[in-house]
Amino acid sequence: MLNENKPVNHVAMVGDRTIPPKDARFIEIYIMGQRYKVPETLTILKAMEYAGYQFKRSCGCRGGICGACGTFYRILGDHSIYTGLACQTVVEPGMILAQTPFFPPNRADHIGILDDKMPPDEHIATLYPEIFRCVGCGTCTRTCPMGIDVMNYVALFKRGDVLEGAKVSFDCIMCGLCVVRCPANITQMEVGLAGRRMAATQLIPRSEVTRKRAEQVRAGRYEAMLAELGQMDREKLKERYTSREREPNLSEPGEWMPKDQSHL
Amino acid sequence: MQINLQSNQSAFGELELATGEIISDCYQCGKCTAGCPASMDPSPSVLIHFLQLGLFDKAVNSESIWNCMGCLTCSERCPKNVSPAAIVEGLKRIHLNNLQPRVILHALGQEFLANSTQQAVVSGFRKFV
Amino acid sequence: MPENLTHVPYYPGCSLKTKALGYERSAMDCAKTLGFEMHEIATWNCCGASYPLTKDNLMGLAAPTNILVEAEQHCNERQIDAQLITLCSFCYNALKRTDFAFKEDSAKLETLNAFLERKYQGSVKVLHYLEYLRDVIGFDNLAKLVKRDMSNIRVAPYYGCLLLKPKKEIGLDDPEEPVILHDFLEAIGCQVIDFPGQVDCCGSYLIMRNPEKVLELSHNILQEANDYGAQALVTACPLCQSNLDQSEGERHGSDHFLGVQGMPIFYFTQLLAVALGLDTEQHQFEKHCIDPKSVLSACLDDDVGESQ
Repeated sequence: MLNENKPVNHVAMVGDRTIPPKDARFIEIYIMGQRYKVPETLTILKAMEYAGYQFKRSCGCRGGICGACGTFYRILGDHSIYTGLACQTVVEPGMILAQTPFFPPNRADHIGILDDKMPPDEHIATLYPEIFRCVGCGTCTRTCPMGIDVMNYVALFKRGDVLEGAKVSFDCIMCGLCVVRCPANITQMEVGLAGRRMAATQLIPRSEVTRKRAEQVRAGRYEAMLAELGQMDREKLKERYTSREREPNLSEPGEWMPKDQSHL
Repeated sequence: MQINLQSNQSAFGELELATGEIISDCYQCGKCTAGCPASMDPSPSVLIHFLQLGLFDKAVNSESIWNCMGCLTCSERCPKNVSPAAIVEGLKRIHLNNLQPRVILHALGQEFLANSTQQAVVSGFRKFV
Repeated sequence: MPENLTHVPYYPGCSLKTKALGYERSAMDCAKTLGFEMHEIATWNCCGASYPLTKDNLMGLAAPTNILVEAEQHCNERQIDAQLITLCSFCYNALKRTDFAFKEDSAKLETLNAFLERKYQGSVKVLHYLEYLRDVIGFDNLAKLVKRDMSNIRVAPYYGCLLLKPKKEIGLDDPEEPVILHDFLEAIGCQVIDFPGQVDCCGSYLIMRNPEKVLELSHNILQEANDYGAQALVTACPLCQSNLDQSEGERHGSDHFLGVQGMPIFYFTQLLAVALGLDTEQHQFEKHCIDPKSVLSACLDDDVGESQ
C-alpha cells in the first residue's frame, strides 16, 4: 500500500538510458504501488527503467505511435484518472502508475471486409452490434491519449456514416485505453479499424491519375526506358542524372514543361 | 443496483429506492392491466401484488417482465401515480446488472442487424442486454 | 419562398440518417417553404433511444445531456434562442424527459455536468416538428400554403406512444385523445380518419425479441384503420413506420389481412411535402414496403409540382 513512511528504493543505475541529466532534481513516483525517487525530466518509460524495470518484449517504438505503452495514472490526492503514453509523458511528483500493455479486445472476423458485398454501414452493425450499447457517456473520449473524440466516431458509425467515422478515428494507435474503461464493453479501436479499412477500399474515391499511370506501367510504357538506363555504364548514368531537368519548386501546375519531352 | 435477494423485505425496499416508485400505493384497480398491449402473464397489477405480498422471487423470475414494450400506458392511467413500467424495468435491471442478458448479442442475425432501424436496436439493447 | 429563413437548430438522431432519410429530407424541404431552415448541430451522438424508467439510472441521461450541451453551444455561438427541433419520437422523448428531470432536480444536472466534464446550463427548449407547425407556424397559416388538393385521400393519424407519454413530462398533447396530427391532416386538406387504435403501441423494440408480437399488434392497428375507411396512415416515428410498414409487407396479400391495395405508412412530412406542391423525388417513397404511389396518384395528377 502507499505509505509515506516506507523507505524509498534507491536503485543502481542500469544501462545508458538511465543516466540522469546533471543537476537533475528527483521526484517521487509510484510504480506498481512502490515508491521510487526518479529524475524529474524522464518520461514514464525511462523513469521505470531508471527504477530497474526492463522492457524486454513488445514495448515499444518509443516514438508515440505503436500504442504498446498505454498508461493509466493518478496523482496523489487527486481523484481523477489520467492517461498517457509512457514513452511520451514526463513524470510528475506523486504519479501513481499502472501499465496496460494489453486488454482483451473483441475483434470480429474481418474476412470479407474489403469487398463490397454489404454496404459499409450495415457491415459495421453486423460485425460490432455492441456499438448500439453506447450510452454516450464520453469516457472513451476523455481517456484517449491521442485526443481523439472516440465517442464521436462511435456515434458516426452508429448512424451509418462510415467515412466520417473513419476520418475522425484516424489518429488511433490502438493502445486500448478506451476499451478498458468503456462501461458498455465496446472495443472502440477495432470498430475504428474496421471502418477505416472499409472506407479506404470502398468509400474514398480512387485517384484517377494513379490508376491511369498504373495502367501505363502495366502496358509496358516504361520498359524501354528502364532497359536503356539499365544498360548505361556508371559514368553515363551519373551524367544523365546530374544533367536532368527538374521542375522548379513552387511552379504552378501545368505551367512548366521540360525541353526534352520525348520521355513523357 | 445491488439487491439482497435473501431478504424479501430489503429487496422490496431497495426496488422502491431504485425505481423511485411507491409500490405500496397501488390499490389493485387493474387499469394498468386493462390497457397493457403486451401479453403479460402475470399482468402488471398482479406483478405489483406479488411484490406487495412479499413474493419477490415470483415477480423477479417471471418471464412476463420481458414482454413489456415500454408504451407507458400503465403509468399514464394509474390513478395513484405508480408506474408499473418503471417497476418492471427495475426487475429487469436486477437480471441485467447480474450479467444475465435476455438477448445474446453475437447470436443476433446479420439480416436483423443490417435491416433494423437504430431505434429498435439501441432501445432493445437497453432493455434486454 | 420567404427571404429570411429562421435558423432552427436540428437534432436528427441515428435513424433519420439511414432508415428514415426520407423523413428528414421531406421535413427539411417543407421547412424552407414554411419559412425556417433546419441546421443540424455540428457534433452529436445517439440519444440512447430509451429514457431510463428507473430513477436511479443517471447513465441514461448522459447521452441526451451531451446533445443538449452541443445544442446550447450552437445557439450561444449564433446568439439565437436556445431551442432544438427533432423529428424522431424516441429522441424527442429522451431529450424532453431529460430536460424535465433537470428542471425537477437540479442536483441531477450538477452530477451529469461533473461526470461529463461539461457545463450544461439547462437553457435548451426541445421541440417536435409538429409542435413547431402548431405553435410557431400555426395550422391556419399552413392551410393557406397548401397547393395540392388532398381531399381525395383518407388518412388515419397514428400517434404511437413516445410522442405523447408521459403527459406530465412531454406535454405535447393528450395521450388518450390527441388531436395534433388530426389538426395537421385537416390543415393540409386530407380526409381525417379518426380510429381507436391511433394510440395503440406498435410493438416498439420487441421487434428484436418477439417479432410475432409486433406483427400481431401492428396488424390490429392496421386492420382497425382499414375498417374505419383509411387509405393510408401518417406517423412521426421511424420505428412505428418500420414496424407497421414491414408487418404489412409480410402479411400483404394473405387472405386474412387487408385488401389488395394495402395502406402505405407515411411520415407526416412526406405528406406535407406533397400538399405543399414540392418535388418529392428525394423523399424515399421507393423505400417503403407498401408503395405510396397508388394512394398518392389521387392527388398528384394535377399541374402543380413535378410529375411522379
